[in-house]
Amino acid sequence: MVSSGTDETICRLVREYSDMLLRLASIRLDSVSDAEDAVQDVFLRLLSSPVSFRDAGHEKAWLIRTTLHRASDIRRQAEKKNIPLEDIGEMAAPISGNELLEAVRALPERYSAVIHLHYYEGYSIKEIGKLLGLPAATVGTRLARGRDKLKQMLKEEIE
Amino acid sequence: MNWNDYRKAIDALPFSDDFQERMLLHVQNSSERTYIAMKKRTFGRIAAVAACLALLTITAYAAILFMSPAQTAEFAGQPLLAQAFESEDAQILNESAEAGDYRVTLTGIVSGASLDNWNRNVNQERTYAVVVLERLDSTPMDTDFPFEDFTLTPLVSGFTPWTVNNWTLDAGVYGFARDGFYYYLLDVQSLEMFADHTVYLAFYQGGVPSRDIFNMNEDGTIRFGEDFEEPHSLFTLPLDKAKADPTAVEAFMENSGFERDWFTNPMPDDDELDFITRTTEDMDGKTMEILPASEPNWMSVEDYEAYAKAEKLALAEQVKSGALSQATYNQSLQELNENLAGVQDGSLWAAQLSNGGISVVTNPEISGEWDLSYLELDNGIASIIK
Repeated sequence: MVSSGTDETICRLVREYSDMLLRLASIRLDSVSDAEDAVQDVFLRLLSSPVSFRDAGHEKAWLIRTTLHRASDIRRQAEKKNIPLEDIGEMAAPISGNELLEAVRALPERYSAVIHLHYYEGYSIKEIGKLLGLPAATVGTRLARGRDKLKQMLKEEIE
Repeated sequence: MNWNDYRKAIDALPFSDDFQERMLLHVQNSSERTYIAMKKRTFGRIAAVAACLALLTITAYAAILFMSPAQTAEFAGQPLLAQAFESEDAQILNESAEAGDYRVTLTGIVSGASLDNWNRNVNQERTYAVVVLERLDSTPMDTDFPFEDFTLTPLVSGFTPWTVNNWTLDAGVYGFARDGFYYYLLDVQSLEMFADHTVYLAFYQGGVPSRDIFNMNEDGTIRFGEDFEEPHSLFTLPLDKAKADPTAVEAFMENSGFERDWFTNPMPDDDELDFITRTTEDMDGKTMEILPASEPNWMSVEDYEAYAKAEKLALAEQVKSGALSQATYNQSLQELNENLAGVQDGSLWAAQLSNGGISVVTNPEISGEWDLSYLELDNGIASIIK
């Protein structure tokens, strides 16, 4: 078990995981700068309150879960701001220009996270289960349902 | 449309080129500040001890037994804490246990806010405990004792030792030798919020609490692992149950970043069906099927309905008692309802696990094969096939 409290450990975590965490945050947040804020908050959290990790798997799982929580918080805060409807069109303009990415972003978190971890990061169902603290069967079900929802949204099969 | 488009879109997101560099710089600067503060804290303690030692040499020679908790705090340069240890709120315990070649004595505990110089600017309730070490063969202990090789940490029954300990409770431990004894003064976020649980104080040779050191029983009680052979002892702290604060415990868990399961489930990976993989190759590539390792104990629709009903009541109870947040409750309820609808219309099957848990999977008879199957193509893309 290692404590995250040393600058050496946190720097290693930044080097190893920041790219992956930025990508993960960006499926919950439309703005790249919001995604960067979310990931920065996660690392700052480690600085202020060191966490003891059981092993490398626990370390990665903690970072992924905390990033998803933080990104969801930021998203909720933005939604609570009650932006006038006429302004939403401009502000929420998709930044990626990719229909599939926008559709994944529109999925509920429980589907988008497993879809992204599987199809971009290449984790298996069992690995995602361990990372998100879910039974593998639940991950499999979410993956299948997420794909079904994407198919309905995009009106075509994703290969 | 395919997943390659998705990967390309993610890769094209305009993240700042220097994000990692800025983050590393920030970490290094912040860590430097923390490190200096911690060193000062340590130097402050050593300087205070050295000064007191010069003043108290005559008293020290006259001492036969070890110092009381109040004297220990005074000696460490903490007069307010010393007063607190003499107040009615303090508990003088003098409980001893053997740990390897040492006798460990928990002399006392007290809780309160603004009692020490280390947390002067922190208006937070803290708990302090004093522990004294002596060698069983009466060899005097001195400053050569490897203080940092040993851990003195609180643990709480019902919470896994790796989630509630010194590292998560913002603790500081201070040690010094005097008159052949070695003194530990523990300063930690107030433990009174956990007072409706058994709160332990563990002393052992080793680092951060882990499964190699501790076991948590099904009833939540904590003990040292049978294979843990280093010196160790475990005390129970007599806290006033009336001071338990489930709301503060909830906030502590909420702010920890851990999933709830990690606090309460000592083996969080066990709550799943055991799967095996079967790989076959054909013209299309390699197909890997993920199958249950053994035939699951499938539940009838009626049994799952009864389980769902009981689970909903249990979740509602947890919200009422403050053990579960409303947001987690809403999500759990939604998933439970979705699963219930799936089991009722036959698209999902529910299995009773050997550890008492329930797992829901897509009906293998509808999909023809388990829908947890993959087609691995030559370019490495994996997709589910139904």
